[in-house]
Amino acid sequence: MLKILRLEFLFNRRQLFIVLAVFSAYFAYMAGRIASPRLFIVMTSVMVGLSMPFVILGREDKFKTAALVCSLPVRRSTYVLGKYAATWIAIGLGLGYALLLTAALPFSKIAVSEVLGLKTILVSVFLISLIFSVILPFTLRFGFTGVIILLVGTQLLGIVALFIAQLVRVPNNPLRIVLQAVEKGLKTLLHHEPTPGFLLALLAAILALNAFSIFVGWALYARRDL
Amino acid sequence: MRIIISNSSPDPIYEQITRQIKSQIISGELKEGEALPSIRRLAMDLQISVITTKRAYEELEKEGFVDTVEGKGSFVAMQNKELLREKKMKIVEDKLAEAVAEARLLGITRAELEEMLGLLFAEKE
Amino acid sequence: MMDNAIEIKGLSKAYKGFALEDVTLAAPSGHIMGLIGPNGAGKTTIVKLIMNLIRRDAGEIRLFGLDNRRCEAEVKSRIGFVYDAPRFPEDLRLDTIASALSAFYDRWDEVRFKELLKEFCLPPRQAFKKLSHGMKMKFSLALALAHQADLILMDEPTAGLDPVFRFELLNRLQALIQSERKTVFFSSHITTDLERVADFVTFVHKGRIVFSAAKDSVLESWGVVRAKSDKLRPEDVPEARGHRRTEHSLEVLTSDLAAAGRLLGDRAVCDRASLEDIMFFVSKGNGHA
Repeated sequence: MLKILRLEFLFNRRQLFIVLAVFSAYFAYMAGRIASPRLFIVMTSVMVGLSMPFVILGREDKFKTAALVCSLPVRRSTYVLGKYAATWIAIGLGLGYALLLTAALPFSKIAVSEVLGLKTILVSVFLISLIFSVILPFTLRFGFTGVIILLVGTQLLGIVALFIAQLVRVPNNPLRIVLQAVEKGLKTLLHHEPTPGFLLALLAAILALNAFSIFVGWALYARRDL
Repeated sequence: MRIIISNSSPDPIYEQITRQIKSQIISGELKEGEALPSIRRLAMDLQISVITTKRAYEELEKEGFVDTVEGKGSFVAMQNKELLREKKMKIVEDKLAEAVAEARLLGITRAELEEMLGLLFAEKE
Repeated sequence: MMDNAIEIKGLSKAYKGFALEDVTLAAPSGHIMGLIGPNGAGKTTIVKLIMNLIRRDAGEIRLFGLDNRRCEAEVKSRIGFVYDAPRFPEDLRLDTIASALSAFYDRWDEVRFKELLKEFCLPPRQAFKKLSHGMKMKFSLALALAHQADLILMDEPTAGLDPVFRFELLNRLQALIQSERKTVFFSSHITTDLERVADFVTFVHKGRIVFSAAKDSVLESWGVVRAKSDKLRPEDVPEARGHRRTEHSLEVLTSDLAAAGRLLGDRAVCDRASLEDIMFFVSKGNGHA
């Protein structure tokens, strides 16, 4: 496993640094503008959760490194597990870097102490897990282009849904319903009391999500023709 | 040991090898007991398949020209003087048989053939 | 007596529009086997199936006597692979790439690798993307040789290489099998390369094996029969495997040159077939020039 992680790091280190550099500008902007720690957490999580899988997986299609790595004496399951582990490490780096910037930048409106807490970390990890547990298996199976298709596809679906809603004159805009539900969910998460029960539930959800995603990812990848 | 292979020759490559090795043994160029290159070494030097050289060596062993010792390689077999002479005779006999067959085909008489033989021998002096 | 480095039985893989069917072949250890066939015949598919990069639909693949799926990691640790378009992350340096990959091989020999780089004139600090195609191939080969693989598996290694380097590469392959434990298996559509160094040749055509045999016996038994069109018909030739008509003449490929010679005598000219002839006639030969 270590060998795989080292390989992932060596192969993708440049992309990682580029992404972190881009993040720097973004975090700086956010730190200066956003006063709500909760919003900060959500935005950071989404950003990191969305971008890190691409760092680790994004260049596969272009360079067919999957075919290369799978020709090495390595089992596909190890390879898949390695991707997840590498992505989490990259995410950890991303989050750590975000916190560092928040603490270091003088114009930052958020104090690190506000965002560094067990609950916030767990919520952040949970959100990220939600995001990338969908993206990762998809990317493993369909490659980078598949993800683009997924993202574009969902956009289109949203537009179609809106259009249909207009036509049929549904009183409640379906897209707004979805967004409201998401917002409500997020609010509940963020405002919930950090009771041990809640934290444990979060932890369990995180582990379950990741385990399920890894399983799906592996199942899909084991069948993929490289 | 020098072997020259011709790709355009109608003879199979292994035959070219056996013939050249045989004649070198008979002429004394290759001494009794002398080690021959390994089949793989020879294949690489001649840039041909190892299967070919193996076959050549097997043929040579069958005809008693070469001994192969497991793990050590192939060596020129001890040649019985009588047998050697016989082998030399056989080579020339085969060639003469070819010439005779050709002569028959082309309608050249025995007398003409013998005359040719005489001339050729005289030439070579 | 000879162990087989590669043993394939009844291998099948179906795609839309192409299928590999019932492929059976064996590559004996210590020898060089070449896989020939026109583009699209299934050569790359076979190589990928051996490396388990694609899943087989049916059949068995054993490498060094081990199943290539159940013992995947063990088997791959003994294989040096060279693909036709070596793909490494472009911006990385050669030594970085080697560093990432070498960790996976127990028998990696760093000293040997450095020597190979020097021999191939590859600067270790050079970025991969700056290499010419030939140099990329050489790098791939250096990696494959550095971990003392028992099987060198190559897919079209000589395509796109200049004749000088092709010659050197083939020499190197022959030098490699001076050890009886090493085996080389490579696919190519450049038949002359195989004619030079291969011990065994497998011919794939449209997803099926036409023959898999010792190169010498193939080149001795296959032939091309040529005659004027009015003197010969394809049916007259025994074991005909394809023919081609030109304006005045007929050329027929046969897998039994000796029989053809005996049967046809003076009616036709019978020559040995080259691998290229075989490939040509079998691929296209049932029609007009």
